[in-house]
Amino acid sequence: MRYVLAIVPALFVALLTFVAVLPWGGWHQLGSLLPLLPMIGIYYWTIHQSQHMPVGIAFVCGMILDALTYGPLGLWALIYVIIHRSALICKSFKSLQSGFGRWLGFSFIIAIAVHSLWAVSSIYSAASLAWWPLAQTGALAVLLYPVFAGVFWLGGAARWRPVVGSMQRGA
Amino acid sequence: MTFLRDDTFSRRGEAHGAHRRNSSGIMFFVLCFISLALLVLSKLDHVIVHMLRTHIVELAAPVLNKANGPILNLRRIGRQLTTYVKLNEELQRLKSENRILLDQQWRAKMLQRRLARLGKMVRVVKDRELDFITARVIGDASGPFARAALVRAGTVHGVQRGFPVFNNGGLIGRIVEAGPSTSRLLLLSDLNSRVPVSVGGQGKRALMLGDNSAAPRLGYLPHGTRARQGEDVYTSGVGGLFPQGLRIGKVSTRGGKAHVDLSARFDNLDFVTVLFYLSPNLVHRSGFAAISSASLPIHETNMQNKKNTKNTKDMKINTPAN
Repeated sequence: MRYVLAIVPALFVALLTFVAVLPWGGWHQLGSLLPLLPMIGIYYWTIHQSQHMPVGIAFVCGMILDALTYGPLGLWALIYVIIHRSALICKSFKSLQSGFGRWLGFSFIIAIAVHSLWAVSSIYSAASLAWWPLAQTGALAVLLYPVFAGVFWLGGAARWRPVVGSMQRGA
Repeated sequence: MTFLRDDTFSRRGEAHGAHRRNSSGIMFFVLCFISLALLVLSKLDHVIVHMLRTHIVELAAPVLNKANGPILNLRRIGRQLTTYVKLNEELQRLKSENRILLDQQWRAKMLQRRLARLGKMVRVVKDRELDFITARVIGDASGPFARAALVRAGTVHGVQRGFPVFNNGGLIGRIVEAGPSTSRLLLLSDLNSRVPVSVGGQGKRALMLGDNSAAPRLGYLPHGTRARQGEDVYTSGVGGLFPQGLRIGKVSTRGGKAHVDLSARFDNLDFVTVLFYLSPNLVHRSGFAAISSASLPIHETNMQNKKNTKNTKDMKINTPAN
């Protein structure tokens, strides 16, 4: 059971990656937001269970997104790897240990990610791309963080720890 | 706010602390390097990038296909709800549209007859009928800087790079990568999309430039001409990228700049039609057999393929490099 629970973080991030490329039809306006959702997953799980959220998972999910969105291969992979590293740095700060602190940390990281994404994409396209739509979706991702954090918490291993413990004791 | 705080699961991993941090740091730099290297290779349009992308898409396609079932149901419910809400308004719109269409149908029939008569008089060579297939969209591959979609049809179904794609609204884009069972469709609104178009009844030549917005810009109009609000925009066929006369949309002017309101709705792509029309530019590089097989009806295509086996082999070798 413990091994099954260990894959929960990777499973959530992979799920959000696939959700980002599904044809949602009328909700097409959310197209720009969807690739930012795996960032929430990567940040949350790196903060809470870094041992089950290795940087390789973030890289692979980024590569899948790059391949499926016809973006330049390596763009999302690079951004997700940066998010993972930034989350690890955030984790080490004592002042960001509270719930609000985590949220604040995520806002800071999203700002870095959005800037990096815009800069790399602009250099890649050799044009100054519009940053405002991306900033808007970044802000939306920050607002959505508590919702997704709640879902992850409900589906996360902490909820099942007593069950696992009792099963192990029983064995 | 409990869920925003630290999770207490499995503290055992923390025991490895220093070692894990070190290896994680090395991995970070290695993966950053790989990502940057891939970015450079993507910019160079390297064949490795194409191969890697095609393999990933082929692996992910079954997952996307399975996940599409519930999504389609959700979208159907959403559409039905929208229809119910706007039922009366929609009915009035359809009635008035129907009156206009009946009138247009009559005029079209008259023009068709006149055209047939004139064609006979000057012995016009008839255009060859193009073959097509209809396939489901399994992935909406749109990000902040890309507008693309994944189509569940690939080279095994005859789809090739460069084929135009449309739905009942009009042209929506073209195939930019074709794997064995899936293809990638670059939408007209994508930043990299450039389509030679004709504007209005005079057929003013212009270029439609995708800018990731819902209404691409209209540029490179001939000096001294300008596009007027409401004028029709359709493919000009210049450069051979698309066949001539495919409907795209109408001109809309915003802030003195001409944009194109696309006829096709990109937010509701269920099924799309892939037209077996290969750009002559690609054909010249890959052998004559390609254009013949792309533009002939199926029975003629099969016969020609048997005759030109050698040329077809050449085409397969050359296509990825194009």
